[in-house]
Amino acid sequence: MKVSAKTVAMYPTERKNTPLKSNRTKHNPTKLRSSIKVGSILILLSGRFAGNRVVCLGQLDSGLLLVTGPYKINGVPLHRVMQSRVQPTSTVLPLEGVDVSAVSEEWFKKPRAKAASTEEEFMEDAENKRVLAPEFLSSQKALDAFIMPKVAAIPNMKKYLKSKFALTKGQRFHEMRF
Amino acid sequence: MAIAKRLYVPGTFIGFRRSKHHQKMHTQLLNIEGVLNMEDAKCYLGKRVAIVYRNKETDATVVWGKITRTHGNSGVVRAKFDKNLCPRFMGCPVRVMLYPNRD
Repeated sequence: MKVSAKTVAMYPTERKNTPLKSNRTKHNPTKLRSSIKVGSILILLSGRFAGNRVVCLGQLDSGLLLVTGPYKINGVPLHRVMQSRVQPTSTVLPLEGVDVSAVSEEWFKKPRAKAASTEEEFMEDAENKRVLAPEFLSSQKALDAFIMPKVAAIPNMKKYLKSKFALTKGQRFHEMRF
Repeated sequence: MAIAKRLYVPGTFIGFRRSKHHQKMHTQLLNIEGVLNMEDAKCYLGKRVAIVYRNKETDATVVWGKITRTHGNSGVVRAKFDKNLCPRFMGCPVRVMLYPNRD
């Protein structure tokens, strides 16, 4: 049988492999807890800055919270934290109109470290050295500049953000209301 | 004297879940400081727990666990650790961390 060019064009000879839809790859975004709002003061419970009081700037696409010290007040830079590793407080800074659209999650990701075989390699490993993106620093400055006057407007707020949270003898965590 | 600054609640590993003749080594019972009834103990459910110990060979070793449920009415809680705790640690302090937070 003679096969016309038209017929061949209609029936592709190779099957295209299209991945099946799977529930596993479905993005289920993390809900923001009702106790956390933009401008909420949070206490970090774990990690390098544990105990510090920080300001919540919003939720990123990954579901993590974007927080800042502000850096000028208590040294906590622009930072991503999990909601469950944070103690929300009832104190809220009025941060209407704060713009975090410039913040990229890529800034916070650690580059995958290659294992260094020798000590010298480890010491002089320029590839694995983390360099802060210049946009990170500029947006941190911009956000801090936005927050600082709001902090200054409330008496004792700067002092409060500077102070660290810790439990002392006789204090009962289960009786505390934040 | 410097005031101890901590971000955990102290507790004690008081023993294993047990009946009269048998003990379940996979479930540890913990006493949390200042918790005297079941209602207060509920605040700590799900929290991570750590037991920190030292021996001659190693530096501080940490075994992590999780508070699973209450045990009785007197504020004692049950916990599961990654590795079952050694009975030698009965009476030893544990640290009840403040996360995961559910507020």
